[in-house]
Amino acid sequence: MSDSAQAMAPADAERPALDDPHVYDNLGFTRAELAAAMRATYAELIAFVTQPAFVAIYNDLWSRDAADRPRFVNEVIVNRAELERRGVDIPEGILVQTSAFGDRRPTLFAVKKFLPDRFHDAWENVNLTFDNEYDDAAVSRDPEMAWRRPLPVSIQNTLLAEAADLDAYPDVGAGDRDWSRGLGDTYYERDG
Amino acid sequence: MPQDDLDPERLKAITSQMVEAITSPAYVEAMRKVKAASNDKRLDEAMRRLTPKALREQGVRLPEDMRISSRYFEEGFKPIEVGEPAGKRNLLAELHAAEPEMFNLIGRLRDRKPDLYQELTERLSVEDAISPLALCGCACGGAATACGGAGAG
Repeated sequence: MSDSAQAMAPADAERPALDDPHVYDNLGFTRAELAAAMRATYAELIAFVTQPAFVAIYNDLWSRDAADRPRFVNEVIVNRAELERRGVDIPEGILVQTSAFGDRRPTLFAVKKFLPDRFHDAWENVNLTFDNEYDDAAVSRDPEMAWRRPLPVSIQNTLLAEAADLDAYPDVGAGDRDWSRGLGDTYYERDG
Repeated sequence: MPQDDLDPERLKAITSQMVEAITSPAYVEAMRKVKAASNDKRLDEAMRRLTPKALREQGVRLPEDMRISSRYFEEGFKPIEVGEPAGKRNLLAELHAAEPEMFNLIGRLRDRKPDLYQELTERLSVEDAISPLALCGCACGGAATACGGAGAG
């Protein structure tokens, strides 16, 4: 058995079928309905990033030095006018955003779309995320590292541009146990 | 460009794995419990419930290389100053804008004056960083650079 199969095996016997109608009785929708909405939305994201005009931009991004990519992302990829000038079709509801994770993987940008409101008690959005190259072992999977407050993107990108170690930057608000009070808030406009 | 990053079939396979994992009733329930926790307990709840190990123990079938992390999104298509949306200053961003050398200074401070470094980081409050976060599960393959994710605030 492969490592991957071993990782998944223990849950197989307990795993409910995706079309089990009862598993979300208290949420007003079924697992199958949520899964269908997610698959449909992921399909929209995949169609967006695989259109030739976007692929050309992505190739352009990767032709640049790793340290230069945050600047390119800021000037081109999260710039609607520049994307459109380069021929990218941006369907309604597709968001292209910069982003930062608590585990400090070197994220460049994400393409995201919100799910219909009825699913938000479970999940709000799905996304495709694109990172600079990194050594998987260098980004901690320790829960205490993964659940840190993310760095501001402006600082993250400066560190990336300087080829600095993101983990060398201090944990801000380490003494503030109330840092997660923002959970539940979203401030960005959903229509992008 | 990392090979196959934008291969539609690869992206479809990655996101299919994600859907199966994150629609698991145990995963959804764990996330709802974290969101329902009081503000001062939420971080502890996330670290306890929303980890690959904890979720697998609950029977969730996770991709082998899945990462689960806090996350922050900036507004799309319109660069903004982090911290402004909540109407609060972002001290770290302002410091960096005024003095880019601060990264090196912080590194030296940590090495030479660890007590001062510790006090500095503890005094930085929530307003110095970011308030909007999202609970996120993200399946990423090894050192690959493209992954499928999902978020809930």
